[in-house]
Amino acid sequence: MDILSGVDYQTLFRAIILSNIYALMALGLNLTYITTKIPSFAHGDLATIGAYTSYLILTFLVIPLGLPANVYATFPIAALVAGATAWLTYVTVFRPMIRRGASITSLMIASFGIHYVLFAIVAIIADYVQNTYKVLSRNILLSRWEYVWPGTDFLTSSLINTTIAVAVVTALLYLLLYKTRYGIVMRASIDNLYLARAVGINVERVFAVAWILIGAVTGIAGVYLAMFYTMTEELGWLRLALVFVASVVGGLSNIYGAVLGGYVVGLSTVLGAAYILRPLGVPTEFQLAIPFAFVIAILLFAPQGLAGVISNLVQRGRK
Amino acid sequence: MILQLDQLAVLIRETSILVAIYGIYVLSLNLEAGYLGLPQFGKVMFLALGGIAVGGIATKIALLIYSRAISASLGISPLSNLGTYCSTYQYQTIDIINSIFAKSPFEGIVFFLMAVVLATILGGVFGVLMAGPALRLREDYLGIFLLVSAEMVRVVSTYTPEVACGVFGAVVPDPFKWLGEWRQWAYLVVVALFLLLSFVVLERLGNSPFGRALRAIRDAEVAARVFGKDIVRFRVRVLATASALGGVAGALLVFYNTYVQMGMFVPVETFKAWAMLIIGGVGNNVGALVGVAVYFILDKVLSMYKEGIRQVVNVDPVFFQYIIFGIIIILVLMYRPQGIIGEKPAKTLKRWILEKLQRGA
Repeated sequence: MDILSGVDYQTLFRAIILSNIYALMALGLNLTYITTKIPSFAHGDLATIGAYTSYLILTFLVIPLGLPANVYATFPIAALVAGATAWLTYVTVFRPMIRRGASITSLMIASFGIHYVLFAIVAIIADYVQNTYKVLSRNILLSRWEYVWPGTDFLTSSLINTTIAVAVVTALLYLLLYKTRYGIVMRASIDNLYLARAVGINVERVFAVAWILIGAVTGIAGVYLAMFYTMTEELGWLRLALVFVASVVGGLSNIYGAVLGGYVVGLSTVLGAAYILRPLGVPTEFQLAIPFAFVIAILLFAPQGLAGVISNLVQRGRK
Repeated sequence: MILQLDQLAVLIRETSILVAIYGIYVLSLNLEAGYLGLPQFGKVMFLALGGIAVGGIATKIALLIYSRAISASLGISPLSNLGTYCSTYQYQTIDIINSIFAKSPFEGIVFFLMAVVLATILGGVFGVLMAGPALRLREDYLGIFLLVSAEMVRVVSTYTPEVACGVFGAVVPDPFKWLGEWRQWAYLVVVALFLLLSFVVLERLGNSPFGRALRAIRDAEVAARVFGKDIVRFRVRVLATASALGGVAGALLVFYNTYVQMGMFVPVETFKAWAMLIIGGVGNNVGALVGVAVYFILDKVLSMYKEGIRQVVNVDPVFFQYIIFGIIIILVLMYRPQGIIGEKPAKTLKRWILEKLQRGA
């Protein structure tokens, strides 16, 4: 690899870790899009909820009980709480609105209303915890409780852990969607709502389950997000634009496009900042502009996303 | 809480100014989202462009014009070294320009009009640029595209100090300095005039064949195309008009604060406008204005009583405001999608003509 010879491993690791996190976030968003056809603005808040659940469980349950403090111990609960929140938003807001035949634009606006509510609830909980129990609840990093593999440093361990997380989540999604009966039901409902309904599938229940999955995946992504960005109630919301970018670059209607898009975003921001912007003397804050430029180009020339482009090329190659 | 009379007057004045500025902003969103059904999730971009026009371009022109006066009293030339100007000399320099405006109303008004015209042009140009993708992308993709473009404008302008002093924020000369303590009242009149003008223009536009064509495109695009409506041209014109108005709103907002920091144009500003529009009534100009007024009145009332909440639960009451607005948006969308004042059928003829026709029939 000639190109990578000048790359120091820290920057590269950081880039891959961020790619993994954005891939996880985008996986959730793509599932949302596939099931209910909305890019939800409340998606970032699900991640924030996951991160805060993890932190609160650690400080109020795990550490007082003297258990070994580790973020992975909190994963099931973080996934459950974020999943329950996502399910609740679907059942209380999106499902009734879809039943009434709301347009995509009004569903997107409703998702923004949900963002307001979730964001404020998290902020109120953070305030309450801070004022009542005198526990720091803002500007914290969860990285303190990351599992560090023996003989490695934090960055290497994070690289391994996030990569495992992405691999496991994608593999589980693949197994669920392609190897189980329920997956067949789910894909049928996604592909053709009316046909699935005609066959007797309870489409809305299938989608409700899908929303639990969305929340769970995003909640876990949120825990990882909180290891690299300081945790506030805006943790997920501030990165939402980049998550949208990852989803769209990969292809909104393709689950695995999310992983691809996540890698495009993570690699292009970190490596772009380190190897394009810094040598040119451009402030590194501009790294955000790189994926934005990417997505604008993708939307203009290939709105089906990179996954669509690749599958087209593969098909053409077969012929 | 009981307010003194003069405090109340100030409160009403400041709220009215904001209502008027956001009124223009939401009216322009209504033209795109309400009449044409465009998912404009990048509206804040045009506020930001107004900010660039005033804080970035017009202020620099003023610096250029008054450079002799500035270098005479401060001994610096701001345009030659923008970095030091932004970090050190901004307030002093703008004070000098303000004192010139305080003596000469004519120069102030010319500066104000020039800035607004610049904002209109900049907004309009970007609107036309945005029309390119708006022609080919689907609803959801277009929403994301506009959102990301707005973020792009914010990121680039915030971290390029040459635009509007970047993260420091640019101080803007006050063109109404000559009015002294009546400045804010006069500004209320000015923004009200702008609001009235844009309302009349948009109302005329909405009730013209043009507006009816827009509604037709929104409701049944294919049918509109079949009847020979050139959808591309309609979208370009609407985006250009609405974006130019958005730029004007941005310029007025910046002159209200006499300060601009490009980092403040975050996506939330877009959604605020949507919230106002949804509450008031999509596709109806009066509804849009009612929505703006309701939003700001609720906002002021809640912020007046929020200290009481803090004494009950020990948390920052601002967040309860967010919850209330979020729930209001969701409930309105679910149970009253038409908003407080629903869309009315467009008037094709004057009322007395209609009545005469009805009598005759």
